[in-house]
Amino acid sequence: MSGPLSENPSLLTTHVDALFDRSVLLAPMAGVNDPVFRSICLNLGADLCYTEMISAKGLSFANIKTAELLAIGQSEDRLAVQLFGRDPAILADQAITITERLGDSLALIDINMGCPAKKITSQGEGAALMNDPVLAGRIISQVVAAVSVPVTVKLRRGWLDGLETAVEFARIAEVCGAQAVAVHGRWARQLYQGQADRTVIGRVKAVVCIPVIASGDVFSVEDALDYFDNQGADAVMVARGALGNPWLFRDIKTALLRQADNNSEAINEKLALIERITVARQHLLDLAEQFPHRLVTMRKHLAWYFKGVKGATAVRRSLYNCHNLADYLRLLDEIMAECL
Amino acid sequence: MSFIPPESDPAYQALYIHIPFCARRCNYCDFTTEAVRIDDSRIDTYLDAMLVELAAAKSRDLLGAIKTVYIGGGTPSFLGDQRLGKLVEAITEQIDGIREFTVEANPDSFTQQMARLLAGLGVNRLSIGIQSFDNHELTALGRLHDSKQAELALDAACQVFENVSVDIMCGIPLQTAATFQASLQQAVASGINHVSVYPLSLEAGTALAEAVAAGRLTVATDDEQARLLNQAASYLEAEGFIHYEIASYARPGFNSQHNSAYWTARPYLGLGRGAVGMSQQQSVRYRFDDQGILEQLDLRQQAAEDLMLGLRLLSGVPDGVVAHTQALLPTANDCLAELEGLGLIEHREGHFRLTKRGWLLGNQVFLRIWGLAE
Repeated sequence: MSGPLSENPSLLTTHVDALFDRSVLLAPMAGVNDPVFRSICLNLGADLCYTEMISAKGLSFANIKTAELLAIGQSEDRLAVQLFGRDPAILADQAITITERLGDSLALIDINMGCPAKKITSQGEGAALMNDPVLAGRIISQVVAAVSVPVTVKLRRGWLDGLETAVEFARIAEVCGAQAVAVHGRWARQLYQGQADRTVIGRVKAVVCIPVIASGDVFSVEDALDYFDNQGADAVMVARGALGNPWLFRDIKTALLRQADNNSEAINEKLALIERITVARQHLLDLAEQFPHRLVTMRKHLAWYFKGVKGATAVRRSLYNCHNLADYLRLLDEIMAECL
Repeated sequence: MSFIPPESDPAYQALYIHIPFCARRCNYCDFTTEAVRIDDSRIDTYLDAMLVELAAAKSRDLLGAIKTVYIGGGTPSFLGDQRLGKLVEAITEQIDGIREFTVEANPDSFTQQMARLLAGLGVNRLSIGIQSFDNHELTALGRLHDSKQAELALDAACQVFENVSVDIMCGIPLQTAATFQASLQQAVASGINHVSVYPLSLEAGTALAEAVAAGRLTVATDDEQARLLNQAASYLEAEGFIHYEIASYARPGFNSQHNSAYWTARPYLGLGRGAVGMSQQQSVRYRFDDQGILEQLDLRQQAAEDLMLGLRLLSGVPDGVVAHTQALLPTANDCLAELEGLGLIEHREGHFRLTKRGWLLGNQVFLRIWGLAE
């Protein structure tokens, strides 16, 4: 990154926080995430899409097929690239190549430490790196040092069934400079069987300051909201849930927007009072227009409307100074001013 | 307890919402805004209060005639998708039939994702704070973006919106006629339909004013500013833009409807910290902000102000309005004749308008006219 932004690292940090502020991401999926599918997901509300996982070694051999995985779609303004490999130097080198190739379109580089496929783990790559935290740490540090874009790490709950190492591993990633971690709640050996454990997200959140992205079994709006609301995830990744159903992004984003409307109690109290004022005002105006001689009945109606409301006694006292429409309107405005 | 906006007759036509937050304050800025971290809870508190103010305005029946909405700042795009989306939704929920809904955005916090979200929620115009495409000038201004980000942001905006405006500034330290031209050209090439061209003004107490006072930077002289403004007018007019207001250029059909409310003295409501509103009540025109009444104009002052505002516009001031002004301000005709003699205004086809020279020396014209009511 060039220009004024790069001179101020704290602003870059802010940028990453914004990237993962209740955002919904398309997870890296091998053989699925091409520019066309990513564009569809973006247009339906995905905040950021990942490339499929790309072999650092393949890139370093200038393998055409591998390089093609970096193609960017017409309506994509930025994308996340996921790299896998186990040689820190090759990963760092290829991370630089990618930043040069994609420039400002590159949102971040993610390092794959979560892929459970035997083809990958048998080479000591993907989730197998969770068995070698020292090497994993070196990989992260070297890639972070090599590039100025944010570097993130995707991992699993742990390698062996029952041995949760994600919490400790996420701490290592943070210390080595990762700017976010994505955690999938299955054991590597579990592949995609059974269910992802969602609560691991909360345990990771408790020990790191960087954003935590939840991954695993997001098939519905409820799944996503559970990660956000109950596990404290900063962002969620949708993987298999988006296959044949890219609308899931739109549905989740809509639900989040609606949820943002659930205001704090203090605000709701004020809004409720404003609603009282609105109805009382209409009552007053209609009465003044249709039955002006009955205007005096507003004294009791207003007392009822504001019964139990803070300051109700003062309202009742002021009512006796109201003699015409203007007086009543002024009183309602005074009540409104107290509320604001 | 804050000041509650007065009623207005005619009713408020335009709504301005102020977002007084930025990632960083620019070197030249003296607007009501403060630099905060994106997770600062003051932002949420402020937005919550804004929702209450909107509901209150609706309840008091102040929003029924609103035609245009403008969210400005500060940096509205700095709020991020979630908070900005919630605010826009609250506004469209309270107001029906908004014709023009503008949101201001800065390149460093604007994404295509945000553009899509805003378009989906009913925003139909973006105003992007580009200022310049030259990295040295941007650094001198203390802007957070560089030229590449400006280009990306404009592309993203134009892909989603038809009605996109940019701000371009002249008289920036280190700026030359050539770099200014390049900025204008790049803006036009991106496909925008509206440009606001502003001269940089040095405001006391800003970082830029200090740098200039200390001799670290120099800014354009008035003559240089005037040359650059002329250059902008010639170029943009040749490109098919209409110079419809002193600082504003638009392709046909893309005049800012919201700003037109200010320029034609239609009542407007301002909500938020430091936001100014204008209300008309019988013979008095009030200006107010969130703290209280700022000024009240009697009929004579209003007539002078209307004349001044009318001259800002390409359409000019029709003779009928001048006659009305003359009735209230007996020396108005003499003043206009004098300005005509100075070559600052001209009379054609039943309208008074600023001449080219008058556009550049607008402030002199306005001071004289304002003097009529004193």
